[in-house]
Amino acid sequence: MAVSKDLVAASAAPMILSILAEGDSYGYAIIKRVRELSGGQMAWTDGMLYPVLHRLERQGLVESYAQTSEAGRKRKYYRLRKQGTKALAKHRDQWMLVHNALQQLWERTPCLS
Amino acid sequence: MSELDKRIEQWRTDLTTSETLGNSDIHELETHLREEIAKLTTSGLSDDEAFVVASRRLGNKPALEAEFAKAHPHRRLAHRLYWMVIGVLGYYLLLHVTSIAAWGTAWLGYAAGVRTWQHLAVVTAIVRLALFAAGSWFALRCYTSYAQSTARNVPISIRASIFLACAVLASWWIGLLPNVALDRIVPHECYTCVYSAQCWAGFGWGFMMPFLLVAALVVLSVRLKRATGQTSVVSDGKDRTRVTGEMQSRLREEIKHLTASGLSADEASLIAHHRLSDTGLPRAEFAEAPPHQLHANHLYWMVVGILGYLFVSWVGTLASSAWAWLGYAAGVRSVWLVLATGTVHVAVSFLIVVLALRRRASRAQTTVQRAWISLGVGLFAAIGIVLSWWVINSARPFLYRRLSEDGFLQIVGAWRWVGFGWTMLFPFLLAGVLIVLTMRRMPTACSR
Repeated sequence: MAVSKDLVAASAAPMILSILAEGDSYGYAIIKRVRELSGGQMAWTDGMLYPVLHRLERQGLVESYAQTSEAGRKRKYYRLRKQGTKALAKHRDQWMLVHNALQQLWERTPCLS
Repeated sequence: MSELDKRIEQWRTDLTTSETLGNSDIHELETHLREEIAKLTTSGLSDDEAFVVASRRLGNKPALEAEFAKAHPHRRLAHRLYWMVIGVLGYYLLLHVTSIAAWGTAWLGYAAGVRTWQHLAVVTAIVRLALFAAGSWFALRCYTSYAQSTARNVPISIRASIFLACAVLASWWIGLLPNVALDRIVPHECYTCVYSAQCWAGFGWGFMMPFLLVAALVVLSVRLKRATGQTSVVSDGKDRTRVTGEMQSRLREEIKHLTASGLSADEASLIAHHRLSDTGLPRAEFAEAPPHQLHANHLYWMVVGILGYLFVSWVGTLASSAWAWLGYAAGVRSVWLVLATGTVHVAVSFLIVVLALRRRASRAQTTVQRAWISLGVGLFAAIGIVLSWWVINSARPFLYRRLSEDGFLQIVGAWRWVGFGWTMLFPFLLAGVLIVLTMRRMPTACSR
């Protein structure tokens, strides 16, 4: 079951912030981690990750720095900033709220009979 | 360079023509592409297959452009502005250089025995037009090979911007000074003949150029429409050949094997069909557009910039000269008249630019105008340019007849000083815009 496009788009920012909260990372590794976490069910078009990262960078939630990979290519790493941690907490509260509300509704459904 | 590197190079070159992707973005995407390819080849795909799968995963050009435009809303406008400014500076450099050549031709022609200014004017105009065409062609060739070799969408550095502005100014002075000097050296009759030839050649030039630019605009927009039609071809894998019978089971097995190694069903089916039926892999994911089409977008905005600049410049001059007349009638004299005229000139030009940019920014989603819109807008600008130019030039003799000599000198003096200030400052203003745009569009880590 693939996750719908809208849901993927809505969850992109909290997902990226949460992955960066685990440690600094770069685009390709972030995509890999998302695939791993969702068992390949959250299909991102890989190129769409970067505009989201850039938007987060412009909002001051993450910052980037260059580091050379083993293959000798410059990679752009992203690091979570203090503001990003705060934003992540806010995202978390909101998602938990939605999650709890839906859970309550769905737990009640079997009692309808 | 391996076959894979060539394909990646081509993929990158195609992206550099995008209006919303910066060099560092393309670099970042390329790093991603290479890592994905490396991973796919270790799971058993050939270089070619890995490239096709990886570039599909990354997304096609229009989709990438649209997403980056959302993240960087002002980039498209900044990109267009950048090429407009380069267009205007390049146009002026070429204009001044050919003007020097035309001046030389007129004098040589006179020395060779052509004594009527009409004949001299025709020779001068032809030489100038030929030189302008040759210069444009040369500049285009240099630019195309440069853009291809670096595969960057911002080819001009800060130092080059300042150099360009100084070159524009220097060529203007070089064209101007000999005329002033010769006025004092050669006999009056000879000077008048050559000077009128130059003036008439200039008249033809001012009249023809806007319409030539409109023609260029229309040709480019037609070509661009065709080019975008070609590059946005995205293979969805539906054109695969039909396979029947025993092939079917082999195909199923192959797909199963490929999905087990991490490919999605669609990707696996694409590669399996390719392997079994020997059809070529879709190469149109990022199309091979010929070089002259790749950079037609930059060229289009250069022409828009030149036409827009001429329009702003001449309408501004018209407004300021009307103001000089009104100011004189209202009793403003000498330096104050110059100041008032200059302020009106700058204010009117600025207003037109701001209005045009605001209008464009609100419709920034459309990439290139259709040919008939280009034709309409272009003709409007061209007629505006020619008309205001004609009004200004016919106002001078009219004023000369109506006013006292002092009044005429005051008003024409005010125009001239404003024009002088404009010519002196404008290249640097443009260079400033170029520098700001270059800095904005050249973030860190853009080396390959």
